Amino acid sequence: MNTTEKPSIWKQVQQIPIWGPNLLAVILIIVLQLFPVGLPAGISQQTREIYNAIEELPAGTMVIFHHQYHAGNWGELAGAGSAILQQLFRRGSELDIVVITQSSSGPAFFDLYWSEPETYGLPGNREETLEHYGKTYGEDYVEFGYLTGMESGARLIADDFYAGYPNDIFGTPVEDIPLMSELKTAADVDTMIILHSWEAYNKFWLRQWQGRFGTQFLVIASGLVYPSLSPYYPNQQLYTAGLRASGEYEALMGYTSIGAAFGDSFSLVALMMVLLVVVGNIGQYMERREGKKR
Amino acid sequence: MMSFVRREGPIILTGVIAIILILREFISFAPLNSAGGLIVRFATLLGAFTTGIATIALVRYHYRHVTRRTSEQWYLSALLIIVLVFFTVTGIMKVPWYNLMYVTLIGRPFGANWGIMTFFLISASYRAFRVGTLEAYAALLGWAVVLLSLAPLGGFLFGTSISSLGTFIVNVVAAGSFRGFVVAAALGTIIFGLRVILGMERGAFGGESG
Repeated sequence: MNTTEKPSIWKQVQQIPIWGPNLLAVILIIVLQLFPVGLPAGISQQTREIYNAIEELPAGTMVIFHHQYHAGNWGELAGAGSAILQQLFRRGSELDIVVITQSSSGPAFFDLYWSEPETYGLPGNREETLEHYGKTYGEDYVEFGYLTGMESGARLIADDFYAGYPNDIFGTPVEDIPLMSELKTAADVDTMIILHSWEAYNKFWLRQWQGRFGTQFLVIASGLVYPSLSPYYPNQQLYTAGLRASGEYEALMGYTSIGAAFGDSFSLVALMMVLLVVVGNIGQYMERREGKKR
Repeated sequence: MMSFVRREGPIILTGVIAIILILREFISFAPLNSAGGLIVRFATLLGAFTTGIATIALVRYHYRHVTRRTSEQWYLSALLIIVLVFFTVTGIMKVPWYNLMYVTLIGRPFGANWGIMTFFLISASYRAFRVGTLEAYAALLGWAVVLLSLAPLGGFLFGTSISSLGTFIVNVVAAGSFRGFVVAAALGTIIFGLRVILGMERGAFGGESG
């Protein structure tokens, strides 16, 4: 005779085999990556603040587009990066844009925008995109590569941009690039847009640029570091969270792409996590209650 | 002489460099500014140089494993050296498919590695977030609100209130405590810096502190 007592339903909901939710997460992620539906999303105040700040940049503003891309944060930040680039580009020759990075993987990942433009909602490769938006490489748009030295590197180009970046990504000497005659130090830069996933990184750029020169900082941070950047909002920088910002920014720009696809997956997996936690806690509460009754 | 090189020398050098870098923030004096600029430039170069030294040390370490045929290690070491040499050479040669190769061979697996954490997070949050006290309920509620406020769908499902509440938690509740932490850490950094300049903190030079 089997004397083993079947666990109660409340006990069972506390012990759901984890392969089930994990399998569901895999299916959700794969399906939504292959067929992004662009689930409806509200636009958060913080993303809108950054969007409006860029819209309100006066003509002639020198903008540094600073991407700290690597494989771990690419999925989260790429959508926002592409959308912000296009927001800057659509102002035509009004804004001067200089692209830099302090990630050794940065140049390779940034190049994905130009080698796989359709994935990121861009009109074409570098030349086609610049032509589409009426930009001219060297005159109102320049790309630089990897800057070493972390905080000392940030300080170096703040005091002497040419010392940190003697050439652009094509090896053209910085003295031969027309736009660079307008950028010698951080005092010549009005706005810096940073996409990153490292709190300390944000801090030392704030210290060396915003603190000393009052540069306007607009930050798209990964969800991992987002809460830790709150002390600097809104006086030192405006900031928003990467994946949410990616989806929201694409919506603001009027298209859906990689940001919406990742946003869809993240939304449903996050919702599933919250539901699982709620179910587990209800099970624990009910089990305790029934135990007390006995 | 050896004692000076190993003990007093680094302390004096660090002290002098630190004083130059601090003073140039407060005093506008051309020689001080150029000395400070030179030090910063040197530090940046040193950063790049250490990458080179680390690469040489890495190759030497793994080369030993390959030549000694260390069990369950030598073939991994050989692979590391091959990949290192391959990427260095193709990078220097600026082959046009370098970026694509880098992103495909290194970027994708690295990204997947991060992605796998999702499943640990699902499992950990389900099993660990069982609450029994009022404080734990408050923390759990904060977690759920911030998570849903960061998910694009959260705002749609629960209205702008979830986004506003999440923003309030991060930008008011968390910001207040973080600001206290930032100020305390800054004061600690100043005290630590002073101790290093005065030679009272030798941990930075590889010795014992105090």
